[in-house]
Amino acid sequence: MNEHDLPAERHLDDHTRARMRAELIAATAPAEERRASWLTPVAASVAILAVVGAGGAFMAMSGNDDPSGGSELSPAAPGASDAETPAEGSTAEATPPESASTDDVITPGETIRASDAKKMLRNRQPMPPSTCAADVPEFLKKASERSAIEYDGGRAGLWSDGATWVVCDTWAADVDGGATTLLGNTALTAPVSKETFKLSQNYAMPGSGSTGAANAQLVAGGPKIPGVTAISYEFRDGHVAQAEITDDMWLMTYLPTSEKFAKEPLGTVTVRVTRASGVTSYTLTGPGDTCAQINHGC
Amino acid sequence: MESVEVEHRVVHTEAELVAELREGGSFALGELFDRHADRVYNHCFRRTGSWDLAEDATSAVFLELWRARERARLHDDSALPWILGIATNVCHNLNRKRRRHLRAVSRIPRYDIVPDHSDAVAGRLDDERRMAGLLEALDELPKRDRELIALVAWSGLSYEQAAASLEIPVGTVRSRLSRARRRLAAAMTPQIGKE
Repeated sequence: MNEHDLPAERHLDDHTRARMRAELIAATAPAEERRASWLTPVAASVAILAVVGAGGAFMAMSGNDDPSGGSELSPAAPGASDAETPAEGSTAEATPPESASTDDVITPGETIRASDAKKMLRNRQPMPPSTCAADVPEFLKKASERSAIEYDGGRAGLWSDGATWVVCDTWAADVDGGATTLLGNTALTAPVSKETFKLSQNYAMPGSGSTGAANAQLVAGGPKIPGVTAISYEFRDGHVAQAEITDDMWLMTYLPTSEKFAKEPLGTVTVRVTRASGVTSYTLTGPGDTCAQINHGC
Repeated sequence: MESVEVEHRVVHTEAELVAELREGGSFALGELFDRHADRVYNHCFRRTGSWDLAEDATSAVFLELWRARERARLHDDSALPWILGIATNVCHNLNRKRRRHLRAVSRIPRYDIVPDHSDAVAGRLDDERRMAGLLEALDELPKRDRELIALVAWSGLSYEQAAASLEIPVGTVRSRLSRARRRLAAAMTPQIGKE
């Protein structure tokens, strides 16, 4: 063994990366900027709790069973003293005080304690949902809605300025508040390819109103593709989601019922596109194919 | 038919992102996360020996970045040395809680990994077993020497970047790293028989 005998590098999987990024943005965005986030601030608190909880787990592992630790999560910044810091673990309080603060923005110099995280969790209020009319112009200034499909849990509209299209889906905004999900920003003349069928993954907090038991949504869509009669997406859990195709657009949505499926990496998704001439298959894998949203994290 | 795609996304320099971060722009934090999360994740794994812990630590590092944003700084137009400096401190604190566990993991022989685990799980466990062995040897070094090994030898920072990361002179990095490598090699020698 030598110092170079390291395990190979790994990458955060796209599911974990998207979740972490969204939680980070939700935890740090000032209230007036949160419209750009698609997870509720509650999610941020859960993220902080999870990190603090990890500290608690280390305590258990190391045999430190002192529940009164309550130590700071945040360490010294670079350049701080070499002296060992006294913190040996953090733990969430079983019963946070009733007088919880409603100040939910992490400010410079602020320490994040388990009790603070619980207060934030209790006091966060969902953001008001944004709308497609508000979000689409960030990408297409002069676009209007040309068509729409409503489904159980949300609504997706096809917006265009005559040259470029965006699909705007309201599921995330409806269940969690904050931004809608935008896909595309692609030229109407773009040729059909795997890019055409990239999908977006969205996650909501438990109990936030999602109609899917797993509080997750997978969505893809775009303008109608001439000659295409059917589009299906086959997922790792065996579910095959058939896209709805109208005169103007197509839309695939899947609200998984398995929490286990929703929490694990999406894995490979097989898209089958049916034309009179036959079926073309595309394989979606990795963040480039499964994080198609253009206005929030991946 | 020729395709014309309109690209509206702007690529920001790290200097712009750090300036935005100092002003409290969480957008910049998201961009920095996109660019450096994997580097932080792997750095934290090498400091903690646990992929799960590294994942939690990565979140903690970027929250700490936000908390410390008024002190954000660049080195050669890169925020990475500053970010890995914070990661080093985050993981140092976590590490202190992990040492007993790491020592236990390092003693698990390779054949103890249950063979019917999925390849992914088995791979992660094997990573952690190997890393535990390295960290056990690294633990015999002083804290600053451990940090330099992790930043330079393991996470690929240059001497200058490591100096910026730890806020120490480059000359100190050179001398300490040379000594640290000798000490680490000596500490690893007894472990060769364990493999």
